[in-house]
Amino acid sequence: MNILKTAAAAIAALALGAGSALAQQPFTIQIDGSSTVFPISEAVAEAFQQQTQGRVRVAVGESGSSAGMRRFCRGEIHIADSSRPIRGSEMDACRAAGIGFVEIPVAFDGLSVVVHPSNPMTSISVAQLRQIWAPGSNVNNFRAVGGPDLQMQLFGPGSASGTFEYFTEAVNGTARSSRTDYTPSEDDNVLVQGVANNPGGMAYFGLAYYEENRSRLKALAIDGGSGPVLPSRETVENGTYQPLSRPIFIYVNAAALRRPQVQQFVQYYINNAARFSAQVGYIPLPANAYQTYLQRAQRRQQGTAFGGRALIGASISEVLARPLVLEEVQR
Amino acid sequence: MKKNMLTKAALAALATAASAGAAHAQSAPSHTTSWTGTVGEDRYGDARFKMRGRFQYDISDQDWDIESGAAQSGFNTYVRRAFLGVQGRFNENWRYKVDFVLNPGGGNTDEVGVDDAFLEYVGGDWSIVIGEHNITSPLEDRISSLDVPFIERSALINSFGYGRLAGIGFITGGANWHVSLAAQGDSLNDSDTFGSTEQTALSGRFTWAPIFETTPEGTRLVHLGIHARQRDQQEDSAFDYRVRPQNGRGERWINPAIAGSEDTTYGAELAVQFGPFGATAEYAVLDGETAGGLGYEYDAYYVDLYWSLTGESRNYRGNQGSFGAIAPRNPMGGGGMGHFMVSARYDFIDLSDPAGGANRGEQTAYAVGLDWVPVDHVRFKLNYAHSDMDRVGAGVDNEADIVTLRTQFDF
Repeated sequence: MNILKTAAAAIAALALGAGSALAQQPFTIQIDGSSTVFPISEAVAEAFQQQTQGRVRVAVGESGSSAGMRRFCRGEIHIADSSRPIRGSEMDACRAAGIGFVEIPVAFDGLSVVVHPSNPMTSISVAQLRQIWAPGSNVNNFRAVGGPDLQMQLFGPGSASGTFEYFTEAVNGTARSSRTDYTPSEDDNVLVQGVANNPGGMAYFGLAYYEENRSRLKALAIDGGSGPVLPSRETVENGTYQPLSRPIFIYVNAAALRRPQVQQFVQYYINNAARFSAQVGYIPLPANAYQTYLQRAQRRQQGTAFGGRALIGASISEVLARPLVLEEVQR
Repeated sequence: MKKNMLTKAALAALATAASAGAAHAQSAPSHTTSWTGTVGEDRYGDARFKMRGRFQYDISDQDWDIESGAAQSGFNTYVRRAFLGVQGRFNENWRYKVDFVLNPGGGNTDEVGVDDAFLEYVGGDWSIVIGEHNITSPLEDRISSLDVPFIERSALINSFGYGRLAGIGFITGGANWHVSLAAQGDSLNDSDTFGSTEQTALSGRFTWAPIFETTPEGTRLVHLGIHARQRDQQEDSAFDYRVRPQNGRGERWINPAIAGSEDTTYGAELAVQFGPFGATAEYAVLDGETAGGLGYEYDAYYVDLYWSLTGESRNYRGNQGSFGAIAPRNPMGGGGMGHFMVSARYDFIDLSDPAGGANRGEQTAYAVGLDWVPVDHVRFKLNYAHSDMDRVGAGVDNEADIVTLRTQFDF
């Protein structure tokens, strides 16, 4: 019977050992997702941690909207940053895992299309963008879209990115359908570098990264059918920068909002979203919108205003007017 | 039902065909490989295909204290399960899953059985399953052998004839509820005698989780379930009810030797989870009759307690009313040591009815376990089980102490 005693003793010893190894650590709020939303979340997290003097830790990742949502619906993180509304398939995954979500739009983003400052082009139409970025496109010179005789070098976000998803749907008509012979990166700084170092460079990413790198890049005015419009706070806010302006979100685990640390953080996020989103180059929502979302967080109101679909070319006021739904809207 | 005569050669051919299939079609839509799982999944438009498999290798030390009958003590190693299978879908609606059961060391080594082997039509929030399945089985049988907390399932599951049968099934459910109904014949692994009618089974299960919410800190869950099954032998072989003392191989010492012709089983399930702590309990009662009109009633229950030392909750699936795999929060190699869980079980079955049979009796088993999941899909399980087997006759009781170490992986 020695082997039995040894086994029982081993089980007991391991149980005690592992149990005591679980030392108490400060509570950490886990955030992951969109690299577009990342600068806001990071700024909020830093300020919040200072305010709470390290009693609550906040870890912010930037693995892309889709990867963040996947982790969110597996219960691995408290908050998912997303530069697009939650998808129907993600709502299903969350539901099956017992995860409810509270949707908080935090700001508006103008997706900017940038070229090297030496490039003489100043504007581009959506049709021309489609010519360049459509699947199978072989446009490799700016001449083809009314520009100079200049070899193009294309940079863009990776396929896990909500920016990729939004841009492909807005420009090519189908989310995730794009030419693939460009240099992809989930890190927007890599895209900035790519264009800044190549006279023939072209890329698209969130307005914040353009604002941050204005001296090294040139944004093209986008002609969505009613004349070219440059991305800026005003043009996004008044709805004229179309179709490349969009709301960006955080999705919060509804049950986690019962934790005082998470509730406190989310309230802090909403109360300071205007300041931080403007600081990093995005467009804040109107004050009454933040008031609505604050209540939504406090009441843990679940659901999405988007029915599991992307929303292209909506203005801020349209987004605010939409009611919350819990079930996916069938296409 | 057709007798299952797949050979290992046929299985090898299938695997070859699978890889060749991926190579020959290059036209649009193109094949891409998704690596979000451990195994690459071939994608072709809406179609999906991937290989799957599992391997369970047990080292077992059995120490029986037997008052009458042959000695059963011994030290053995064996393959408990070796599956190789495929899973996929032709589009959003038509899906399939086939697991072939290889059986090294299991006697007739040229015959391959099937575990799950079905075609599924998924329409919105319901689906229809055709083939070998166990969609209406009680909770513990619905949990994969990879994810059950103890090395062997409870006496309830093993003795009351649960497991897979071939037929048709209907499933529907929502975030926290599940309904399934099935009409089945015998298993595809049973040999058939043509000119006679095989057994039939009608069954259903309903589960509901009044509390089910998950956060990164863990899951809070209350799961309730009920199920029922009615079986008729027809002209097939009779039902039998036997129980093992929490081992995977060896003697079933409590064996009523009843040739069941019809039986009806009712069961209830309760599972709770509070972060790293969990408990599961199931009860079932079986009411049967032999072809000669002899009636019998059996009942069985078990209670399991778990504690995840590393904090993970068991992974509940609300729309299936069952638990899936536990992925470690801090896998080994990523700075962590994986997932550790300790568990305890009380397992009882009463197979003493009706009076008279010498091998009828009760079995009570106590078990403790330690599980280690260093990384997702790799699991080591160490179980110690003590079983008291009391036959109805005087002076023929038996005790067994069994230590089993399982090494398993799946993909």
